[in-house]
Amino acid sequence: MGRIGRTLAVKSLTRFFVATVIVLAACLPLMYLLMERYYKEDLDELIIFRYDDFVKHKLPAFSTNDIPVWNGYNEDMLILPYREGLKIGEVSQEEHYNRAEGHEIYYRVYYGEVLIEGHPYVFMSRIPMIESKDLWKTLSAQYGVLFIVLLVSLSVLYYYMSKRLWRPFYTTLGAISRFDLGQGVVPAMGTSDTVEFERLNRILEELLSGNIRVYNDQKKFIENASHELQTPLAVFLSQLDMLLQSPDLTDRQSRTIQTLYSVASRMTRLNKNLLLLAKIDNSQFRQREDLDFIQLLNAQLEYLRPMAEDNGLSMTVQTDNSLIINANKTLVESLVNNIVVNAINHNVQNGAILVSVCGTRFTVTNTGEGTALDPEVIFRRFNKFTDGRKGNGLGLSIVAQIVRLHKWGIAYEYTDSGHSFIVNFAAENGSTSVPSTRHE
Amino acid sequence: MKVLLVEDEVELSQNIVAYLSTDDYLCEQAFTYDQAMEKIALYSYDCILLDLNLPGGDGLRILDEIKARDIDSGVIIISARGSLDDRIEGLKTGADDYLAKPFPLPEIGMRIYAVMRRRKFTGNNRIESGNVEIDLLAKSVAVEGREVSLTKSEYELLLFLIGNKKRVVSKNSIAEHLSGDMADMLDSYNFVYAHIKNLKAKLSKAGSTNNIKTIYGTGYQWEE
Repeated sequence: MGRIGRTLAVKSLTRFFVATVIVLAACLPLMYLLMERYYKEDLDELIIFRYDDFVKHKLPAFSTNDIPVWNGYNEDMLILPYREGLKIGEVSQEEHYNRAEGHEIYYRVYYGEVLIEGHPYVFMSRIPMIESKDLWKTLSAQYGVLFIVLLVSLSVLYYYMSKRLWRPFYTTLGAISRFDLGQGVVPAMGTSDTVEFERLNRILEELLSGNIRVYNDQKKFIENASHELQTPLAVFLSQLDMLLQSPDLTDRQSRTIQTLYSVASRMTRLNKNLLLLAKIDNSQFRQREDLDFIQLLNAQLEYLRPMAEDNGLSMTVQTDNSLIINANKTLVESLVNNIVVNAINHNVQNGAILVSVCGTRFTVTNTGEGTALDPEVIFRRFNKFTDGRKGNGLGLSIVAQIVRLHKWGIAYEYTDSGHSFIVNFAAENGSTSVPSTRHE
Repeated sequence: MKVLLVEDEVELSQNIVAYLSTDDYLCEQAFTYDQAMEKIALYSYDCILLDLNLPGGDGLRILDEIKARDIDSGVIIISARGSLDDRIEGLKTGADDYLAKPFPLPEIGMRIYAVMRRRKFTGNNRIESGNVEIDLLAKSVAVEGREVSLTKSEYELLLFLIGNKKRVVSKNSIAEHLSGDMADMLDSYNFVYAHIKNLKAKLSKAGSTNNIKTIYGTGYQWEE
């Protein structure tokens, strides 16, 4: 995953925010047009009223001599000689010179026909429009405040509403993130009154319990298969043992028998380890006790040290006095054996092994080939580094599985002094993660 | 010495019988639960090898019957179950030993030998083979009175060979016997060879008339 993800809340809020800004901004021109329209209507009413008022109250006593005086006092109500081409009886918008502003501006203008002493005149009633620049300014200021209030309140509202709406989703998400196939328990998803979430929960529950069922069948199958293999293996091995008793074996026959022994031995250990893994998976090692790891380690090393020395390796042991852990004894023994035997098997000639316990950390370091191993792969069953002649590709996955079962931590490090496997007994749900064993 | 072998797998049963008969063991076979119960009721045995998964019943119930009848036989459980729980239950019920399948035949030879030794020669903790003498309590070995200093592995190896005398034991079975569960994790044939070589050298230097015969690098045989 290359992109850094954002949470649903942030993502939807961002989108809502942007959309709201766009919508609100688009409303501004609309507001402008509306304002302008109602303003004009207002002005038009006023200029028509002035005309009507003039006709009603002033015109009956008006003479042509009064015209210059009238025009001198009424800048926006002028009596002009009649001329063709004027739009009589309707309001129009025209540009006229405005003395106050010192330039031409828009006026709402109404021309009405009047008869003064029998002569036709035109009564021009006009009023200047608000300048559009000014209208924009006023509108922006007013609308701006509204804009911000709306935006903030809507966003806050939206945030809390969506948070509430999505709560069941996060509950479900939390539940399935704690799901561990090995534990075999479907997490409680809770219920929701949202139809979709309720459906999601039910579907997930079905899916997970289905997975658990298949996984359990699979585990049971492996255990049964390994069990069934033991008897034929026993027969095979006993046949070889009998064949070896023949007094007249040739050199060649002996070699064949030896090869068969090797194969039988590999099959046996493979089968044993498969069975052990299956049993760990099937949680048949529930029994825990408080035991002194140092004591247990020393007991195992009594067997392991001569083995290392037989293989021409030197072994150094550094431990504290005691380390009490709560664990299954059989499995801890298996863990120690597998890690140390791994260090013996994948060593170099005249190599060295360092076994140390410091605090809660159990470390086994061995000299070996000068390249680091891929920590992602080494704990998997039958990984690509598996060399059939040495080990069986299951040793480290057994170790990983035991660590996982006890919720400890395991890490692999490669330094100048060699390959190190570190088991941390204190890493309950801790920092060093255990790679989950993948079933491939 | 009479041995009853209760094992439903015919091939395996025949091989165990054939392997044991080269020594002075007299083997009888039972293939089912009922056969086993019948034989136990009729005859007495020094040692009973008991499989747990039998047609007709659970082997552990035969063990209960043996204990209930107070039959004085050594009992070794041979089972494919192999889990720790079965092991503990078997030993609790009163079995003398427990062997998980698959096992090498020399291992069962050795276990019977050990059970017999414990039961028959109580108080006598010495084994003699030719001019080699083993003190089981002190875990010391002497050739014509002269002590031979052996490592723990060499001592175990010597006992294993003598326990399977006259028969050929494979390198495989030696490795498994000496290193137990760890044998199957290690390429252990080299160290078997090394131990044999050292043991041979120490014994012959001490003047032992016995010989460890090598069968083309596949197995070894203790000659008395």
